[in-house]
Amino acid sequence: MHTALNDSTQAVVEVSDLSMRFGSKVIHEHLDLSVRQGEILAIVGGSGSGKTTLLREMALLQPPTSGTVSVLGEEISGLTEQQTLQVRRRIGVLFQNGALFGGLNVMQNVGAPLREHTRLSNTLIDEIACVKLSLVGLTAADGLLYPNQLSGGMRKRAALARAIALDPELLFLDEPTSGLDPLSADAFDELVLNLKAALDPTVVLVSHDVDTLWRVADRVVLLGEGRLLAEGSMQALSRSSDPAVVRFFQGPRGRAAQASV
Amino acid sequence: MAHTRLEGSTLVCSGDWTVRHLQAVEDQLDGSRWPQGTIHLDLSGVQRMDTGGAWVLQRLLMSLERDGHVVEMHAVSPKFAGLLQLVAGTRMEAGAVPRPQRPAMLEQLGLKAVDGLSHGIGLVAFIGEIGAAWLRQLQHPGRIRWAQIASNLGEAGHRALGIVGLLSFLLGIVIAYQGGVQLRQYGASLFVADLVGLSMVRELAPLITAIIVAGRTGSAYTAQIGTMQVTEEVDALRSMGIPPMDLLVLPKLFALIVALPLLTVFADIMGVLGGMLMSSVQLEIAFSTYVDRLGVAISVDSFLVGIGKAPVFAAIIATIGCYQGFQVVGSAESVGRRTTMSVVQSILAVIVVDAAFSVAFSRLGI
Repeated sequence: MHTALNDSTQAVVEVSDLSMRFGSKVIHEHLDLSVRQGEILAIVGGSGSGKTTLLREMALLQPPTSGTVSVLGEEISGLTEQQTLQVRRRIGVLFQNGALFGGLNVMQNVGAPLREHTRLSNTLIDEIACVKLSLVGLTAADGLLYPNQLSGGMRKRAALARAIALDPELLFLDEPTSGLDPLSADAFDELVLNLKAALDPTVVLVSHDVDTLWRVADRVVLLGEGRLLAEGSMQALSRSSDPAVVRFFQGPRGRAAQASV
Repeated sequence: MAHTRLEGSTLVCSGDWTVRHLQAVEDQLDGSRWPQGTIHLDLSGVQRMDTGGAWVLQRLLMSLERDGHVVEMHAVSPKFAGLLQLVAGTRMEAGAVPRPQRPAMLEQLGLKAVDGLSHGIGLVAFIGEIGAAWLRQLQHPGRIRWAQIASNLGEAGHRALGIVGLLSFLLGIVIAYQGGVQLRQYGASLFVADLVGLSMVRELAPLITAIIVAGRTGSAYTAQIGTMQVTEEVDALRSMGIPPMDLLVLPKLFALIVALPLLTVFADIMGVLGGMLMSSVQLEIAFSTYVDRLGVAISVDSFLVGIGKAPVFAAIIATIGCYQGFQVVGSAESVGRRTTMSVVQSILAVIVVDAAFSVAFSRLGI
């Protein structure tokens, strides 16, 4: 099942003619998008433009109203429950607020997917969890803390450690730097790049942090008005004359972020 | 599956060294007996590796080196080398997993005692705060939140009618059935009306209603306030200058103090009706005879004793429910734990207070 992915032009996620409606509210319509093997793709757009919804559809968390989504070579609407589970194991998701389990400490949180999907000994699982914590810049001692004892930055890191617990081939990051101070946000961008270099997952992230887009993203797609307004590298988008793109990237923040690159 | 095989001084590794296939290797390595001197690790057969696999290899490497072996690795592909380097860079030691410190038994006992005591004090303080908030509202009657009280009244009272009615009706049937069998042996079948009427009105209707309401409404109070606590809505109210007591506690308390006696009256009626149905079916007592007998059996005092307990029960349930809600810290799990505690404590308190009432009433001769 991995042979199909060896071709580097092969899409890891293929979205075609995707529409999503909540009642009469149209989130997006006739959307086409593909995520290539090994890239870091950023989905951007204003609040309410359906970024997170699109991410949830690609992460198998929300079935679309119509259209097809293929993830890791599998068309997800046609999968049985068992097959869906197989695909899910190869995906990691970092939720916006971490979504760490409040009743478990950080080490148990990171170990949870391993405990569920492998038959390794508890000692080994705890050790692997500590290795992952160390990879995201936390100490093994932090593993004993409970989520409500963590600062915002630590919570994001712990949640990322859990997302990479099974070394996913595809990693979804929902607003990875939201709620972080600029220093922590920079450090987190750095962390994502390092992990990308070390574990080589394909990364799809949702963000409106323009600094993150400049530093991390290989390719950016801009959502708005229920459709895909533009796509390309940040360099290309920053030179674009499309009014929607200009409005988004050429505000004061966008220009400041560009100047600092 | 990942495998290892020891050939002389060479450990031949093969297969998928990924977390899902590592279990066999973990067992094999634990039981290995290593020859002296240099150990060769041959990775040529390894097809895939993830950080978990790299960690197992790294752990092996460290333990061999600690035992004085020299380890040489062969056929390490660049990708695996990168992973091994990544894992080695974390400076994690095998067995260096920190363990939570468990306090000693005596210390735990002490902590529990202090915890219990502080909760007791907290509850008393909370009751005091309710009183103070209530007095404040009495001074400024314009601040009483009638709309909140009305909606709470509907939620706690009118919507509970079905379940309270059904359960008391069934309870009436059970008492009439069980009691009727015994009474018939003495030829005193008619007294089944006394049995059902008195026990329902004085004791069972107030109690069963209070227990249902504790499970249904008290738990909802805790969960609601607790969730608001987690999402910082309670803090938002405070920051807007709206005392959470006024908005979240007093309306619930007033609504329940009104609703529970009314529900109890309803439970009285339904219980007696249940008994009436059963008496007519099993003991062939006519409805009219039953009702006549009820009039003799149930004094106004008995009725008032039953109804009089209900507001007290209501105050207990609402107070404990809200108090536990405010005790929630942090997480969804805390909401669940507090909700459980709220229901258990309010049912316990209701039954204890009911027993106290019984003793008091019998001393007073009511």
